Amino acid sequence: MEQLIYNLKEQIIERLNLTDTKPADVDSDAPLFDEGLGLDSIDALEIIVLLQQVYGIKITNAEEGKKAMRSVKTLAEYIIEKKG
Amino acid sequence: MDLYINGTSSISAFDSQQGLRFDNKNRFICIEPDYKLIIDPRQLRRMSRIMRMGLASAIKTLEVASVQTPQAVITATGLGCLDDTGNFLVKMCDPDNRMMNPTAFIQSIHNTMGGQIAMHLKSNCYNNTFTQDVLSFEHALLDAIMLLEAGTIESVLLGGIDELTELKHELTSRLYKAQKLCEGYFGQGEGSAFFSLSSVPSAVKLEAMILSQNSKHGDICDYISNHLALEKKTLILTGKCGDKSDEAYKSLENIFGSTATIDYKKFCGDYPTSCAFAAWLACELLQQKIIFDAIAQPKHIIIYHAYPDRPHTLIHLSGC
Repeated sequence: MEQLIYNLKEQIIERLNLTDTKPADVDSDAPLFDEGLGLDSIDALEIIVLLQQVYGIKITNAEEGKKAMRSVKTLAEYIIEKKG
Repeated sequence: MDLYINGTSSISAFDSQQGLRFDNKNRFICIEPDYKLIIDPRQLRRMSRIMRMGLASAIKTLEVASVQTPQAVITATGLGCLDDTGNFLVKMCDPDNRMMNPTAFIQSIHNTMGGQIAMHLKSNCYNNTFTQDVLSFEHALLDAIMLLEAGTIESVLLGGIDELTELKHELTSRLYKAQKLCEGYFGQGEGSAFFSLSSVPSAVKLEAMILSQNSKHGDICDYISNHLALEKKTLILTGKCGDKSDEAYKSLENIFGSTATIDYKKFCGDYPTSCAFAAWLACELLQQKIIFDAIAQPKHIIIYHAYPDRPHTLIHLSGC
């Protein structure tokens, strides 16, 4: 789980071009959107693409996606749940 | 109505202090500022290079002109956000790629620049992008003139911008070699130049703009002849590229006589909206912010473009 959280932080930083941000700067429990990293709807799309390209997970239910993308930790939990 | 340029800013391969930035592939590469000092880093992370160059020059121009919010934003670009377009298309060609990244697609359209400026200014004023290849800037300028002359608005932010990417360089070089146009060619370039236009008197006046539809370009011919007969302190900036396409200039060159002439693409390279760089250079020369030792201080500058099989254009600026 810890390794997955770290990988996700690295991938989000790289994919969203969050220069000057390091994995250690990202609080695993902090909200990804509005507060915390302050991401927006285009970033949400980028994360959806990341989940599909890297982890082979397709978000089909908007409500489910919203819950999964609350924080890096919930995202990691969602990946573990889907991957079994 | 008399129109003036109240402020300008440019990012190009030319800097009067640093000289020219030219790489080993015969390309003119922009000397870029530290964007973090000009643009909010949160906005910067999603911007490609062309957007950074454009927004930075637009912000600086408004600062110089002391204009908080222009009443119109007009941008010109021949090839648009080429890097994002290239990224998107390359990924699209990958048959295994079932999902595309949205950012490159969203930002690959030509009017991204105008939209970015509007979002930065939080302005929903008139916003238009002109993309007519090498005539993009001239058409954008024409639109700015018509808007101001209509009298409904008082200030226009106008810019011309194009970027040089690896993909464009490779494709264009191949095309040029195929057409055997490359001998003597100055090189490809890129740049961003913005202007604040209004009817408020300022250091640089826009005297005339001609987009000649006449096949013999008699209107431009007459304008230059009449002007040079009256005004000797004139400098002509031509858009020659150094290759065979320069033959299009021959028909008018005899009219220039002994008037000082500069092929301005030697300073910025060849790119679709390089005319915006020429206009910026003209403003700097007229205000003596740049001085070329070999050329007497001009009072008038005529920017002349002769494109093969296309309308010829003339922009006349004078110092006040």
